[in-house]
Amino acid sequence: MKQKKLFLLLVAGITFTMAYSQEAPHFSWGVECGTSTVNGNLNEKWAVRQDVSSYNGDYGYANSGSLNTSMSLYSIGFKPEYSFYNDQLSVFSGIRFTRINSLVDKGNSGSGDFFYLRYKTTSTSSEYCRVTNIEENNDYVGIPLELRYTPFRIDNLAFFVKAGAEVGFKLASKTNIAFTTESMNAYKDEIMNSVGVKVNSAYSTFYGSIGAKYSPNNRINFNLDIYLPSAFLTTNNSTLIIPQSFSGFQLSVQIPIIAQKK
Amino acid sequence: MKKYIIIIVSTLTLFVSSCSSDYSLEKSVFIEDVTNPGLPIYSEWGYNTFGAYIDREKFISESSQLPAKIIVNADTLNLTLKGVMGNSGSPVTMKFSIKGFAPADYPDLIMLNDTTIDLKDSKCTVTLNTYGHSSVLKIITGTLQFKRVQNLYVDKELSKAILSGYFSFKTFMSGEPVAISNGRFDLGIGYDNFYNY
Repeated sequence: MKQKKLFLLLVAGITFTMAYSQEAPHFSWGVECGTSTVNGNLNEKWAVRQDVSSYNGDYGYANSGSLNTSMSLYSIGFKPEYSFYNDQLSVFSGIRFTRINSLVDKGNSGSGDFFYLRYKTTSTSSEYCRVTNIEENNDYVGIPLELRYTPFRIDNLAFFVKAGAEVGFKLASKTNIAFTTESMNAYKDEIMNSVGVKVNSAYSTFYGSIGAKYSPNNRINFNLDIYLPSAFLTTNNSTLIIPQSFSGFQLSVQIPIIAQKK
Repeated sequence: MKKYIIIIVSTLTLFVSSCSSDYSLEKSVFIEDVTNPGLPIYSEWGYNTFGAYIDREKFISESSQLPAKIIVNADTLNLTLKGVMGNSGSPVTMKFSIKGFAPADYPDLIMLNDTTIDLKDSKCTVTLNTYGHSSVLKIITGTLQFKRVQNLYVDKELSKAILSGYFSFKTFMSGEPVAISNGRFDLGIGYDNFYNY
């Protein structure tokens, strides 16, 4: 609910800025690329047998290996910019391709390089498979909408804060399970279906960043954004990991169409 | 000759790889039950743990010893739980003997699925071994519940039977009434800890 309000506030702010700006906006086009690391936990729909003794050093129990989970976002996009009020306020939108990569594997090879995944269970039987890792790649295309405020600049360097949101749709999705026994590949679909989680066809995030813009001349600008901990507005953009927040960085280059006054 | 060497090497490789991969299922995975401190959680994964309170002292499995064995003699099934008691970690063995049930091999244990055994019944005895002294306990009241017994298949091959359940009873120790409470077990029973002789 809070995130929806923030999103509406962002849209309202952009609309207001564009409507009441006293001067003609400057327009530039740009490209961006970025990466973020997502904090999250393994989705419990994946029934993984724990091989970690979590307690009791007194009697010889000790950690014998743990699951390693990771989730990352990789993005590339085309993002024009409109700037107002002597470049103090800027609005960005465009198109962005995002790949969400999720990986689950055994973190400690000392206890073996596989884990047990339970994929079928009845009252009197259970079936496990030995899995080296599970990797999922989900690709989305989305439209970002961002508002940037630049409070001050020092020479060619301007510092800014930015808030943005993105709405996207799924292009492709692929999950690969690496079994230790090759014959288990024949059961991959059965195992995937047993988990019962589908990748969401929609994707949305709300994010904030701080950063700097370097303008060596009036023909090109370089931007570095450092993402503050930001949130997913949609669920199941990865079937493996339940995300809590993400943070990372983005590099972008803007080329003004109309030469800016320095 | 070369063909035979290849067959022998392949067989040995397969044997070694199957042994090493089963090792993870042999280990004890102790996850503490926060509502019953010191005891493992109740689970049905074959974590090879058990635990109970003997009055206020905990009696739990340990990782260095095989926590459970099933020995079938004639018409009696003996379930032995081997662990340690209290903060001193003194070794304790608790044995449940059930007459009239003699599975030929560990897959047959699923006949115990969803079975509750009255420990006061004459067909059952509970033996406790502490400090090298073994005694058959006189049960005041109590049950041994096999809540779920399942055959475990790993990569489509039968690997073990998993016995999960609860136990609690009241008995006498050194002439004093004692309660064994909150007992739970999650045991993998297979080739290495099932005996029928």
